[in-house]
Amino acid sequence: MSYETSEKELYAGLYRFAWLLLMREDMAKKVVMDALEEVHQRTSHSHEESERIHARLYQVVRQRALRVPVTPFSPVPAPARSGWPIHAGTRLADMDSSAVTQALHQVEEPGRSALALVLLDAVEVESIEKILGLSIPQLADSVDRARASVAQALGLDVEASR
Amino acid sequence: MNLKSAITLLKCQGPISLESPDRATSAALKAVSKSSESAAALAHQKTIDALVGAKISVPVPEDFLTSLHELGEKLNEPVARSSATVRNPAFLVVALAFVAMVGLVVWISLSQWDGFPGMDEAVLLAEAGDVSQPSQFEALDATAGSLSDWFVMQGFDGFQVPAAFAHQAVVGVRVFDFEGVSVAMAVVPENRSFFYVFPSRPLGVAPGESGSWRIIEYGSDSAPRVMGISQIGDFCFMVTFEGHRAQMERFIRASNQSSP
Repeated sequence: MSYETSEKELYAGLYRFAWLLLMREDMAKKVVMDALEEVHQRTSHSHEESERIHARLYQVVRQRALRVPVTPFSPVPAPARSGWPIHAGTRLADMDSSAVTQALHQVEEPGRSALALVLLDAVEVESIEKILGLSIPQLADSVDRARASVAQALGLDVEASR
Repeated sequence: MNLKSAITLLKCQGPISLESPDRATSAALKAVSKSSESAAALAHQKTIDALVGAKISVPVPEDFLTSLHELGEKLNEPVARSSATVRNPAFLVVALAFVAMVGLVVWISLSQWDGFPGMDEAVLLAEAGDVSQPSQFEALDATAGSLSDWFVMQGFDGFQVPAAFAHQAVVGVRVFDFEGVSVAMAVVPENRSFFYVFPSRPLGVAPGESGSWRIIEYGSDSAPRVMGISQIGDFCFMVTFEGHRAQMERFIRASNQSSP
């Protein structure tokens, strides 16, 4: 691959984010392609800082993804609780990836986008605030609820607040 | 940093940010380490995030990354120019005629254009706000003209709507940040509209003299949206809903007529 790692990481991050919101490879690809074109057309200043452009790309990917009609998923069946408590890590490590992504997909917005962006670690927290239009306390609350929601869907005990 | 701020900041951090913390995160980690309860909760967060993070790291098709790279290259490709061609007199005559023709077309278009300085920023703001979820709003039952005090209490000073829209019922409100600028937003049941108020200067949005309206269509073919925007003093008032220019014109006209 001849292009820079940072560019590759950006594209990979955008695709993963779109995929987590849509859970469809074809639509995730389309949304990312369209977002790249749209942001390029609207970015008039070539010297615009990259973090701002990256944030705008994630923002447009999210806007486009949220407009795509979703196919309803069946709720993730909570795992049987025999032998509880078992260390959460042990349970998750053995869990199918699709159950985890589906649990995240079922979280309400903006928590789903917030947690996905935090876990993908693709942009800074200040950028996540701008992408989602939330203040830091609102973002913290959304991420916290999303974490608790994923943990609950997967049958893991997690404290929702500290 | 106090414990509450530290906890708030750390909740927004992913596993990688916590592994190699910046200055603020380091200070927050230090503050949290003094409380055994919070430290334990953070350890739990790290465990869950690391494991969920690993599971959601879906593979990215290599050919797709290549396609994106090629698209990026194509979009950034400079227009090739040959100096020899530019010096050719025939080319110069054609170029001058072309420039004159383009100038004429631009002049005609501008006389009919409904654009304004900062239009792109206004559209981006509307697109960011329009996808807000119901859970992001505080529910209330009020009219648009009575919300000024509520927004002041939320730290937004200057909420105002044109008199013709003051009677509109509002069922939800929020303040959000767009590119470092606070934006006041209200949900209006009529036409399933959103009202936005924001300071015009920081975003460079200047829709024109007070009382005049600019109407812009945006969105996609499958989900067309339209905005009406007007200047009120140092602020912009913007209405958005799903539809086209004609519907916005009707909405503004009807509001003006029904205004007491």
